[in-house]
Amino acid sequence: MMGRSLNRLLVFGILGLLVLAPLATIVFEALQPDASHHHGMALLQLGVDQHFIHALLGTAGMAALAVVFALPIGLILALLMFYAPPKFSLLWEGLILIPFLIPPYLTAEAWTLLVGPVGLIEQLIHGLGTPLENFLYSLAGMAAVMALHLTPLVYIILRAALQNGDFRLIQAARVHGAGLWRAFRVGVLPLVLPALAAAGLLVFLDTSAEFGVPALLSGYAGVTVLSTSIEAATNVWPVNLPRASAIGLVLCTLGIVAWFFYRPLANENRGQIHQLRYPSRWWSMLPLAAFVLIAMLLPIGAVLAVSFEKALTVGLKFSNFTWHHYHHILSHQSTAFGALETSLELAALVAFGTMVAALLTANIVRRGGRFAAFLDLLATLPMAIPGVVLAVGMILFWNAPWNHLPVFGTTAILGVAYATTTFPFAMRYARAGLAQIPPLLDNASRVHGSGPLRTFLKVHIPIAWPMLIGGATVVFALSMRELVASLMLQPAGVQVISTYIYANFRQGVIGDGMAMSVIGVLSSALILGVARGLLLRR
Amino acid sequence: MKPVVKQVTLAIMSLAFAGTASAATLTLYSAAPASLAKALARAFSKKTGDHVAVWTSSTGKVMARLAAEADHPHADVVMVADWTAGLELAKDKMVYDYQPESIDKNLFPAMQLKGPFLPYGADTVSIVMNTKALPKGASMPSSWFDLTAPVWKNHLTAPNPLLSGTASDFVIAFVDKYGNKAWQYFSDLKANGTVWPGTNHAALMPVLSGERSGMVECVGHAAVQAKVQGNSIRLIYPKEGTMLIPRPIMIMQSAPDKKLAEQFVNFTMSPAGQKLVAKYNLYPSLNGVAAKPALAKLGTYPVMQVNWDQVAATRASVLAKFRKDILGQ
Repeated sequence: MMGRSLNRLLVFGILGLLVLAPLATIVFEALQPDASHHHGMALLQLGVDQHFIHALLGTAGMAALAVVFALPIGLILALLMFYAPPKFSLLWEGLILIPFLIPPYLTAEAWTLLVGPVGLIEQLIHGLGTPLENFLYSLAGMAAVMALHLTPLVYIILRAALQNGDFRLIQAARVHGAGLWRAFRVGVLPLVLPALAAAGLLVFLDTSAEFGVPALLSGYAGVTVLSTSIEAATNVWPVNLPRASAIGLVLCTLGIVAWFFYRPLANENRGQIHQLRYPSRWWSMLPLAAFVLIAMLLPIGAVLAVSFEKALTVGLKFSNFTWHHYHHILSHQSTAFGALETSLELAALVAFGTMVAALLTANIVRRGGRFAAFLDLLATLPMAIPGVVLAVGMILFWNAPWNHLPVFGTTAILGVAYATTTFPFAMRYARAGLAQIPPLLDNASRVHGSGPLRTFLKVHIPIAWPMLIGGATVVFALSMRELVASLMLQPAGVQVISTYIYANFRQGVIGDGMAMSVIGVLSSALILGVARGLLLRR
Repeated sequence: MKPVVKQVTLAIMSLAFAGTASAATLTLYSAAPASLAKALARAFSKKTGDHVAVWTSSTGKVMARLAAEADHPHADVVMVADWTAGLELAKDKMVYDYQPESIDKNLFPAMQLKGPFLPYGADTVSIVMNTKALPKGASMPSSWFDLTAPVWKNHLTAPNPLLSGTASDFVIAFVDKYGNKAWQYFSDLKANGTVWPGTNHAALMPVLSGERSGMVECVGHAAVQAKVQGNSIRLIYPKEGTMLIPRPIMIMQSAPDKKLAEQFVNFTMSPAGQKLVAKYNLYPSLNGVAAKPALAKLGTYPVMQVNWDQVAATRASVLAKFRKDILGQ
């Protein structure tokens, strides 16, 4: 039994440091007086602060608009792919999902390059640049960028709901004389409503927590949102940490409420997938292609084009072509190469460490009980905590006067931040992996004299292996793209891919940043592919 | 499976070594231009063999980080873009006095300023216009106050003084000189559709792309860099005077190795360091090192007279008012 209590102690220590400590310090700080007041509580002082109200409305508006954009598009895509699939539907599905893999800040940067009086679209078709620009630099424009990024998520959820539903209902409705719309209303809509609600909440949650997109666009749009206000109160002199924590607490509450409603709706795929396939239709390709063009081809095309351009305003001419940006990034001494190395090392390390921690946690959670339920809640909570809030909590906790552990101001703080944000994902895979172990095998191992540790290593891990690798690759990919915590926590002399791209874009050194985006995405895809190939070949 | 395990082990080891190696390095926090800070660090490392860890951001964020880390300081040397930020840090007793006479006496007379630190260079704050993107019927402005005219409605940007050091010194000195007229000016700019999107680069980008026509309070080095790259940019030096802002290089009181920090400051102030300062489009402060030809010669345009020691006292209150009344944060 020593093993088990050690396991408990370890898990509690890890989750305490990663999740509880930053949250607790934020709550404590939010109850201190705002830096411009002498007494009272920053949290209550927000209530009469009209700038805060503006930012709150900005966040709510942006998130609501993203839901309005993403849900119908995702629903149309899912319906088309299910009821009228095009030829090569697997390929199309892949194309629809790719926009989710592009980090949203990069989509926003790509669109700023596409629009405008001298943007790429204007250069190509001599029109549309200015109206598109006016749209991009607005609340709706920021929401649209987020919607492009999140529509694939909506699609996945709705597609699964359609597949799990009873397809005979719509046929029955049609047979009984219902028109197409009525058949959809009685036969399909009730089936996908819970999934629609779940997808909507997830889009709302992700958009309200987003930092990169508003950080790039909101200054021009004349809008403020909570995430950028928190960053400003933390990172811009004069610092106002109680205010940052108070706003952070509000944003966090928004997230937790959305997440609280989302959790019961997100039922696992029950696997009752019908083999029925509707006949393919050529016309369904058109709307799908339109989405792929706007959400993937244009932004990726912009990133690629600019990564090969000498001067931005000269445009797409052969004389303007250069390899220089790639050469610069891959030359051994550049800060860019350092950023690439740091990102890869950190992501690999975090993928390994977080999966181990998640496995230990899942090992306790699967035994059930109230303590287990609490641990599970703690481990999945970071889903609902925006990265910017987490970063403030990390600063408060790891940089506190009494905290002498050498974490803040070193690269380790980035690892800690990535581990926290990715923990829920690692946890999901670890639980799924352990759930595959038949209890009989456990008993067999114990009967034959193996201790719990030996059973764990010799029975549990080999069976859960594919899931663990799946989880590790997800954690790796998420760590490679994390932006806001990296920006707020990175120590002197250290840069990662995302902060390099962001900083270069902000300083107008756009070609190098775009080349780094291409290299970053390709190298992480390559490493993931190789790792999966090697680790899953058995 | 082996290669990945090896890779992870290597990663762990390299991280562990990175941690131990950082003990013997100098940590530099710097405002823009980031490329200058990195170039100085590289050249210094090459010369002495000592490593310099650099963190670059805008002045407002450097100041915030120094305040946040007051209990566990990391920075040894700090370079920011505005003189009053340096005076503010000195007031808080965070700066180690280092202004040796041997260096000070060789500076341009205009750069021989009182303070516990040296100016590593200077930069201007002026008006910038994209000559290809002027609104119909507009003529080039000649005064700061021309920019509130209706013809410029929704055509201008400005850097956020909370982030940009030079913009903050501009606002502070402008308010000191014009008082309420200055505040009226800023709110007129705002009413006329001017946006403050962020740092100098963030404000300059829409001007380069032609989305906006011009930028109020643009820092010189960014404008000159854009001009050298071939953009249709013109710098305008208003008749009331351009702001010429010295940039401080400071050794922190908390720096464990003052000798190493002094060496770095000496290097920055040496002809070799000052040539790098010139290369990145700033006015060098050492007499005898020439600025880039693309920069207008000092003395060929009017410069606003500012008593930095006097205006530094108002820094916090002016910026707080600007944040509230103009930016609405």
